[in-house]
Amino acid sequence: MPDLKTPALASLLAALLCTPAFARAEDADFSGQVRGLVNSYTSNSASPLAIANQLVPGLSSKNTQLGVMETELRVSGKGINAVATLQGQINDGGRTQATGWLNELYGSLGDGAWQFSAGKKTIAWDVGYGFRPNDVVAQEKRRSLISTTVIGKPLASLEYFNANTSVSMVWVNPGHAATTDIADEQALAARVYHHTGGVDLHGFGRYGQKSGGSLGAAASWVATDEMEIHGSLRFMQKNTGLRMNTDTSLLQRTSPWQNNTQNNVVQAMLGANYTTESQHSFFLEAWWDGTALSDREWQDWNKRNLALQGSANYLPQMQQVIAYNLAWQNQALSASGNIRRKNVFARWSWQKNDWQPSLDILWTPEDNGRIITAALAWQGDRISINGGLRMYGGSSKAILAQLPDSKTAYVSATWAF
Amino acid sequence: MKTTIHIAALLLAATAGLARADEVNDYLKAADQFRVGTENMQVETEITTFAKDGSKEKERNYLVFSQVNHQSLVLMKSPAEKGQKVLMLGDDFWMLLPGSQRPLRITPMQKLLGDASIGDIATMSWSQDYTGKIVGEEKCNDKPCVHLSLNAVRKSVAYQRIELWLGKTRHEPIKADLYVQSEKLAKQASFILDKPQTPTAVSEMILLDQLSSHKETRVRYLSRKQKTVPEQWLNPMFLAKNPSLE
Repeated sequence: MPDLKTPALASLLAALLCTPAFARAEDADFSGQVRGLVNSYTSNSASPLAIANQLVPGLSSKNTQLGVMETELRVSGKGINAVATLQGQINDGGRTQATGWLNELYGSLGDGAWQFSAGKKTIAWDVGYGFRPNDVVAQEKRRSLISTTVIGKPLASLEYFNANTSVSMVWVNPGHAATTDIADEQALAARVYHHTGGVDLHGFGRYGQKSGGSLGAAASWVATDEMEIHGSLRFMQKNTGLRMNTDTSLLQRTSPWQNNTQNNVVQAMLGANYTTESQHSFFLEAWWDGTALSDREWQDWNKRNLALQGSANYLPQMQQVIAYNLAWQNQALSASGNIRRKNVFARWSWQKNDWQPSLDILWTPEDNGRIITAALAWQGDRISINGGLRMYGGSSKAILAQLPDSKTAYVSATWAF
Repeated sequence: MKTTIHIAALLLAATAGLARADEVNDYLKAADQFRVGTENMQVETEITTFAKDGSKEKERNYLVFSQVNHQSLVLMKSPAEKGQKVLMLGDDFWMLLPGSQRPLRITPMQKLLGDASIGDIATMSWSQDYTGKIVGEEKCNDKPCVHLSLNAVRKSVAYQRIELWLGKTRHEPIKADLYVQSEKLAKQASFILDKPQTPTAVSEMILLDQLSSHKETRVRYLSRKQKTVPEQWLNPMFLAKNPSLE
């Protein structure tokens, strides 16, 4: 399967989809969005990356302002579905960049019980909002500031449906060479869904060429008129992620954060959603992510940061090496989808006519770290506007208080056509 | 002898009660004919929301598949909502958003969100969802009408109580007060019929919000036709897999 994420191909498809012949095609369904987004980032002076930058100015450059303009085009008809995005960016340095990609391009056969699809496609599984351990095909990024359309994976799928059951078999990344990146490895994934007695039941299985097997289950139940309860569990034979190497020396020549394989890993999530008659919604989720670094590993990470910062005073001639080692510490932040293993997420929102204010917090109880997001959304006839502020913080040893940014503010506008 | 008279009186009262219940159900079935038509239908709906000053705020288009056994599928057709779907199977509801391709379980309370709730759009059957009593005959715009007081038989319907006024002769819906679970008056509805003298169907429903926005929402029925959808269409996972159904 060729990599379709190239500006040229995306532009070609966008142009093809816009042609009058396609738009007029009898069964073609055509729609899209134009989105504008402005992001403003405030750097965190307490982060290892900022300290590395102080030691060696310019080691890591990061924009503080970013403007993005996107057009998303959707078309479907005669068994073909496509979603393409064209994007232009401008940063605070005035540097511009234009790119484009295909989110999806796939064909489907079969109208009834059996369906076959092939191409680049998004298949999103699992229940929940903040964390979806069994989203084993799409592996969608969660809790992003602005919801964006997921980029699909090359795949072939065979599915069976009746009134309350479905069975899906998916071959993801067919033909890909073995890789330690789980998102890119060739894998077979399966899901069984059954709806019974008001409960949605899901069973999941995945076998990755490199990562081996995993099994999962999830359920969603509307317990009362106001409350929905959901949970998800996954057991993985193996998981590959970044871990600190066993070298005990403080200053290393290359990044000490290397891929490492863990065995018998568990991920679990439990959540509830409560909506009142006056349209206030309260959302609570707690989860455990065994793929994240352990409390002990983060303690070692904190100790290493302090030791590296301290060494800058008595090894002034080694400042560059110290700066590199501090910058590499930042890699640990992407070792897993979740930074800490224990997470609690709470959200309040209120739908008042066209307005929706919301406030949410992600709390990591192991170190008392937190991410607080306040947002306001407005939905008009075709235009929607969103704005908000996300703040990272917590105790001085909390990992979320040591991220490269301390705040992110954003405003976005969307026009649908 | 006295006991026999008591039993006979009770039996008579019970029989009369059943007869009244049947009568209410007959009224509702007749009203449903004007609102929904037959059991398996495809209805094209246009919803327009007006601000307090009368200016047009929003226009939305929906395609509704209303099926037997409280099953309903709503497809959003307007640009701002295109690709969104709501599936209602009895007391269970799912929402599908085009970006995520993942059905979300929603609660009956979440179904109420918006100027015209999904419950308003889905046009579920009154005769299947409500029982009640005849309050009496009244005048509606100088014409004789029957006032019914209805209570929901299922907890998950949008309105737990409806005060309904039907035409005395044809039982066409004239107006309704719609109450939510907390007994608050949520909306007042009035119905416009296709032919005032010999009505065959409701062509428009006007909703006045009484809870928060106090906006006027007009629900116009653009077309109605019989349609029985394949059973797969009522599986939320099938809907996630198939972004366009028609």
